[in-house]
Amino acid sequence: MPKLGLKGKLAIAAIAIIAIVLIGAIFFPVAKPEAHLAPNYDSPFAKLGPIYVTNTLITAWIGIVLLVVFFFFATRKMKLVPKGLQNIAEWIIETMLSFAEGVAGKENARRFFPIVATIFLFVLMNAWLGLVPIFGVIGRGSVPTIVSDNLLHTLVPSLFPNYQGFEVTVPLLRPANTDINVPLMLALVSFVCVEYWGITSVGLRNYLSKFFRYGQVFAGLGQLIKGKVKPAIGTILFGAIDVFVGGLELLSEFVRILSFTFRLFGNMTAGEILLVVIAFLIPWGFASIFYGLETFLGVIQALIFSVLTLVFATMAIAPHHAEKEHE
Amino acid sequence: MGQRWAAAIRFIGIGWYIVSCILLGALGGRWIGQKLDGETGAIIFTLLGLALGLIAAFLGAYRLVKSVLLNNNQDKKQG
Repeated sequence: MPKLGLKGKLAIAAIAIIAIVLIGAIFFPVAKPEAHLAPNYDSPFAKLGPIYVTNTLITAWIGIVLLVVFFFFATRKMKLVPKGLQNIAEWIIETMLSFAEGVAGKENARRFFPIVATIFLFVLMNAWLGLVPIFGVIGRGSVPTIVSDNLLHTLVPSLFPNYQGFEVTVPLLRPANTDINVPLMLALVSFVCVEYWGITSVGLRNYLSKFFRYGQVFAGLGQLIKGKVKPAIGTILFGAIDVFVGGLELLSEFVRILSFTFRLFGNMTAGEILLVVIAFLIPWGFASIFYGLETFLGVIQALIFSVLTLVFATMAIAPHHAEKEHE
Repeated sequence: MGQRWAAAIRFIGIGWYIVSCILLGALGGRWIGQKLDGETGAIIFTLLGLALGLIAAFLGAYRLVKSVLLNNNQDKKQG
């Protein structure tokens, strides 16, 4: 049998992909996707006391359970020379820790690591769980009276059929990151932790002086009382700018919550909608490309969320130089 | 190595940061304005909030670029 060159292999791969797409489109058309921004908390979901058990909450629980079970079994019988699960767990932790040490330094990295690594693993687990094919296809729904055309059906109606039958409108499982409450919760955790680390490292007074910079204004007023009018005006003017900059600093601290929340929510929801829409337009094979993209994006988003937390924490514990420069 | 990655990731985050600054500024200003003085106040405070958000966004971006450039220069001097 002759050996295939690169061109030959590519040609075979292309033919296989086209065949998969054609077979999928002809025999297994996909239902029109339903995209909701809010999580579903009506039936089939229960209400536990004051807590609405939404489909995203169930997914978050599954993610947590999977993580706990994995790390429980990986660390149950620990040996000096790791094997199997312990090996994987150690690799994960060591990679993340060495990365964190590169950013925050050896001592600080170990302090921030539990929170940062938990955020990373939780976001990543939620993102990747959402790619499991059981998501979005099990749940409450109905058989619609109007059938929507997919892309291939619009092009060649006689060859490619539309999906007809049961369509899920309220899925039982939905990726947790696509519920804005999950990113918001993570953002709040990140915010509170960063502020806590900042305050405990440099002291409350020193930490707050980053935001409330009245020192120069008071110094200017002091000069004014002493009768040095000309330098006093300059000092007060610069002091006012300093107060304003401090206010901006405070604003940017809170903006972080918002930007953390919407970045994760937006990226994950858009990814989820992209997947179902692509699968609807061109069923089967074509969507796998986007599955690859989403797998990668999940890692990127988890990395962004955790590394930004790490960077902000590192910034928060750094001693405040700005005022010393002025002085 | 980690430092460079952290800088790159902060650059990825800057887009959302700018959007959030402007949004929070404008919406916050509008909210305060409506609380204080109905429609007229809302317009003035929206503009004020918008200006504040824009300045904060610019300052954040400027600082990020500055810190990255400083790091780069230090690397060059060391290398």
